[in-house]
Amino acid sequence: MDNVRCEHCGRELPLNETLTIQDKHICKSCSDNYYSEQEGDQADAVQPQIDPNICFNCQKDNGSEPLPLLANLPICDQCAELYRNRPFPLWVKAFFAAVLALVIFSCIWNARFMRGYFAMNNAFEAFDVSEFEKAASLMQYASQDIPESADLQTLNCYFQGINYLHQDRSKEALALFQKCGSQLPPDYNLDFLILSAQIGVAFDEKDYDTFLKLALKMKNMNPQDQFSLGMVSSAYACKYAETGSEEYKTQALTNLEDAKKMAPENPDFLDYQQRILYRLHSREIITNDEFHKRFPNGWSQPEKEQ
Amino acid sequence: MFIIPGFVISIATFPGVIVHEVAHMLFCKLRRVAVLDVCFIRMGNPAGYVAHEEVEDFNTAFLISVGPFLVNSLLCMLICFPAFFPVRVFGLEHPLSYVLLWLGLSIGMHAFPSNQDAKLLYQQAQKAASSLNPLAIISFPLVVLIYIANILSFFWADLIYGVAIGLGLPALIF
Repeated sequence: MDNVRCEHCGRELPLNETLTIQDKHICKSCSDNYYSEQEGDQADAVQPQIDPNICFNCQKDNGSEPLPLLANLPICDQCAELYRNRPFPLWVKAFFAAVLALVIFSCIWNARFMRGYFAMNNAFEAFDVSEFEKAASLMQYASQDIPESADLQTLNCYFQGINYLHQDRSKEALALFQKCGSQLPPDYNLDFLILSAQIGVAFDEKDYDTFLKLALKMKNMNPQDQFSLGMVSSAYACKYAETGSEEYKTQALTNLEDAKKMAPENPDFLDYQQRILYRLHSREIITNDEFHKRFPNGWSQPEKEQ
Repeated sequence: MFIIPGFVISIATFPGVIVHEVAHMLFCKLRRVAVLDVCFIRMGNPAGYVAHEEVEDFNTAFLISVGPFLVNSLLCMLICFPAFFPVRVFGLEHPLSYVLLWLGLSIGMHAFPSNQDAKLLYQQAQKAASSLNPLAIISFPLVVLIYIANILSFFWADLIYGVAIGLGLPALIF
């Protein structure tokens, strides 16, 4: 510790207890008296004295040895280490622990939304490559994970409906499509799908007049769609099978020819065409499954009829 | 223009102020820079501060100045993420999601370094640029960006930034 003599009262004091006023060492108790004796404001010239041998923080006396400076202040090694590695207050640690706990809890709590999102995306991908059963199963998984999402419930009905339609379960498909209401955007073609399901129901119930009426409606909606024309041909073929009227047969063949011209090499349509021709040939109306069971390698019209 | 006093915003988004100062202090600790005084949150301007010794090494000065930008941005993304799917993807309202969004966006809003941080960075960059420190050179446009961002905060740029990284970024990824 360094001592200096007050130039006002003459006492010897520790350096830290003095000020310099106009380059004179003055003790703190004399500073007020000293000021009153001076003329004008001398505040600018006042500086507190800092003993270079005493730690500014903990007041540890280092004897006559000056301490290292930290931010221009003498600081002992222990205090310097404390400043360099100042601990975070307990409440700050608690705050971060609470935030971390909240994030972890939320991630676990909301994991179902993430699962549902990825299941939904995978369902769309499966749908794009016509894997309808897989798409429907994934969408069901997503909708079960997030039951409060009305959009997902609608999409689930839509995907299940398409899957049923693909499996010729038109009645179930129709019920699901009707549940979708008006919540789907137009590019989901819900009207077309409802019509397809209604046609399927009419076919299953052997109501061929309704089948024909709906098939013609579908053709009007999609005049450039090969299967819409094929559907009309199929309906006329059913009417021919039912009544034996040659007029229906002619209509069936005309529409079939027009449909074929649209995409002559489409393998799906060629399969459909075989079924219609078989119906016209045998006047027997059988389901798609039955047809493939009977003719696993396809059916060809006898040569004399071609 | 809807103007809210700064201290009201600081109170409403206090987690962000705390995280901002914690980030400054964290980088001081990591780089063994003495922290002389720290205030994590208070009623006043600034709402928080970290007083540290003068730093000679530019990389350290850069980290201390830019630290809150990194830490606050990262935490904003992390906290908003669990709320992203229910709120943004499925449009579902849930109190927990709104707590997360408030917390995340509050923290994201305080990611911008302050003008004081920019000033210190500029002073240090001036010294370091003479030795062609690449980080110091890119710091000059960064300082300009910080000042612009702080001016634009008047027009809610800080909130827009928080929303962009908290909800916009996951939307770009997913």
